Amino acid sequence: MLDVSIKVLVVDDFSTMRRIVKNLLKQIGYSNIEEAEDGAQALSKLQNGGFGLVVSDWNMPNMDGLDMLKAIRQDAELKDMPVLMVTAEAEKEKVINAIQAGVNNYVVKPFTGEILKEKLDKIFDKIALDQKVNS
Amino acid sequence: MTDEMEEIISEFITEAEESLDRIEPLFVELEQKGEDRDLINDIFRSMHTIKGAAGFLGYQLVVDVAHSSENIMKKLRDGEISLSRELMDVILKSIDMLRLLLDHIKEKDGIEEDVAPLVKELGSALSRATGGQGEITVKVDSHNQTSAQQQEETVFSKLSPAPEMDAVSDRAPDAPASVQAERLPDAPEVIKHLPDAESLKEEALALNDTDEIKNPAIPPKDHGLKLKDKSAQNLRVDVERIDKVMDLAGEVVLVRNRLLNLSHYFDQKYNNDPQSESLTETVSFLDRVTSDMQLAVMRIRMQPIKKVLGKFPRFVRDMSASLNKDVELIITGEGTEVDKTVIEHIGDPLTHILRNSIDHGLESTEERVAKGKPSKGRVKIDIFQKGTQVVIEITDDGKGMDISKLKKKAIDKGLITRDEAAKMTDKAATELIFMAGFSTKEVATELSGRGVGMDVVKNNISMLNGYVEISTEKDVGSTFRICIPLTLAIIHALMVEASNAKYAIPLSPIEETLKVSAEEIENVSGQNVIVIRDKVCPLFELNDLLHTGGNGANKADHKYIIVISMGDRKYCIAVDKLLGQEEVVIKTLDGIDTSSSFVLGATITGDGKVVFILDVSGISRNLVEITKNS
Repeated sequence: MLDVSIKVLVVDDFSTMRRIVKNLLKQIGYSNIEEAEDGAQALSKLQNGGFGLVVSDWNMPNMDGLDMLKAIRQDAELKDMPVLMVTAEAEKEKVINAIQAGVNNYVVKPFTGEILKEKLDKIFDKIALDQKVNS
Repeated sequence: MTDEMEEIISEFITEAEESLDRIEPLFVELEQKGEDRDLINDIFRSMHTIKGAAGFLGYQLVVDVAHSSENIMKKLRDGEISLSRELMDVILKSIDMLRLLLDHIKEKDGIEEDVAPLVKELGSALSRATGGQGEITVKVDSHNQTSAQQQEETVFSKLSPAPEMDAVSDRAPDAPASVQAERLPDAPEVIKHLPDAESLKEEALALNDTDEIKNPAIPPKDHGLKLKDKSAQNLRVDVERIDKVMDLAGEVVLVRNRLLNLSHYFDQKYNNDPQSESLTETVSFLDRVTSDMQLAVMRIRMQPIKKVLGKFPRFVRDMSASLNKDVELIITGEGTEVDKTVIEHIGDPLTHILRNSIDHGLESTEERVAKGKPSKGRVKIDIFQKGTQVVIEITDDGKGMDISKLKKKAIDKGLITRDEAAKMTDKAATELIFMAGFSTKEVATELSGRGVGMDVVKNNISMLNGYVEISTEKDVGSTFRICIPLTLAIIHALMVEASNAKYAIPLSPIEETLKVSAEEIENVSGQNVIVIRDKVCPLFELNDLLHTGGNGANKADHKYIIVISMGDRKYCIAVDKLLGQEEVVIKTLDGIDTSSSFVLGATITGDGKVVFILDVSGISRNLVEITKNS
């Protein structure tokens, strides 16, 4: 079961998209959702703590999703933060880059609430499994 | 449709339109600067984002168009093709189409544009661009692709043995990954093998060192963490709410004015009373705070004029291509802020002036060269604030206006008589171009979609309580100077009286006020006139214009006269009394046809009375009709 009480950060430079993603997350049951307009803003919000999941767009000005992801993985506090990347189409190179940078999963636009939920289920199942293996 | 959905859609439209407004001038910049990666990436990103959001909302046509032009931008960004005029033209076309599609969504008219031809055009432009490349480039490309594929295989062959992934896929057999794998044949391997971030990390890091296919979209850059993000503190607010605040602030100003009057009265009457003194003090404090508040509220409505200017680089580009003139457009002061209403109404006038400058002002390239001028014509738009006004100057370095030609044309068209032309100053003659029916070319503008001439310039600008001046010099060029008050809600007005009723007349078109004796008024073929410094000027009674029925001033042996100058027209209005100058807040009147009633709006004066504000430009238009008919 998904823990929907965690705080989610939605990162996108297009406010309509943030709103759409927020609505989908609400459909799944999340209610504690914050927004950021680009990677740089997201990072500073994340560093203030309290977040349990990041759903981020890829293409953004200032700092894009991939650079943000890299910065998250290099941050001692944030390195285990689950990150779901949203992309317009699965571009091989981009996905490889994201995998290399340590993305937990990605989802292709447009997606439904169900697809989003399945992706999140996968992310958190995987995290639970890892914890079991490591313990 | 739910309200939420409606809101998302309207937000999408606004945001998408803003993106298009923002990227359109970038194309022209791109054409000038050559292939600037940041610019290309910026345009690509906007197309990409619009496509993404449109996909969610089910606007397939938007997705199709945005996708096709995004493909081109992507290839440009990756350096696989180079920018050409043809590519630029089709992408600009696709921006136009996107706007049209957004309009249909906005209007909910259900009209479905046929985007297939455009999509096809975009596709063939792209394939021509890729096909037209030199052999060497193609080789480099294919080499890049192979290396990309090889690397991908390496990544995934190293991925495959990871046991956790199979476990995950097993436990989630219906995972959307498989669904997507069908939809996206491009990347099935990626999806089948769920990324296992942790176990991959080492591999990924190792690979990174030899990584030669770094996505060029992600150049190493300063992350800008230190940048204070101002946009995060922005708030999108419905204009209606702001206008409500604006309206209330106006009311407060009116109350303040009344209080000032009252406190002045009490101050006079009880000037020894300490309470009266503190009343005066309090009211003057209120006075200051109110002025500050008014300014602050006004600023909410102000936006950088850049919004309007965005379409001009493209406009100039298209025009210079169709007229075969080489034109450089220089814009300064695009950050100058003006009222939202100005933003909404200044576009058309500026477009017409710009067209006029390029079409009529600038010479052909051959002519310029023959005159020893640089072959490239130059048009400058300078915007700056001057006191309480915003000034917009459009200057060309063309041939200047030929006054005698202008006069001749106006005579030929029956707009003025030979006699009038002879008396006309050069300055007045330049303004002939603003007269309805003067412009020979009735051009249906692509930008405004209507066939309108230069007369729209004058009308729109006077609607904004502004005015336009022309200065011109032979072979040096012409300048159109537009002056508009910073705010439209408050005007300085001259308070006058006719038949015991008070009226406010906006101060800006008033040239002077005079007190003339009855003998000075002459009658020329039924029209009253007065001679001001050797110039004959028609005189009208405000009482007659407004049909008040009063003619009290007629009996008096002298009259108060207001001299009004609107462009090339000058006329006088006689009133019963001049009461003084006041700052008035314009309140629009619902249900009144301001075009025929000579009333612009109303205001409440310091003594609490409702006073009509007269529409001087409306009167001016009407008087021209009267004098023509008589």
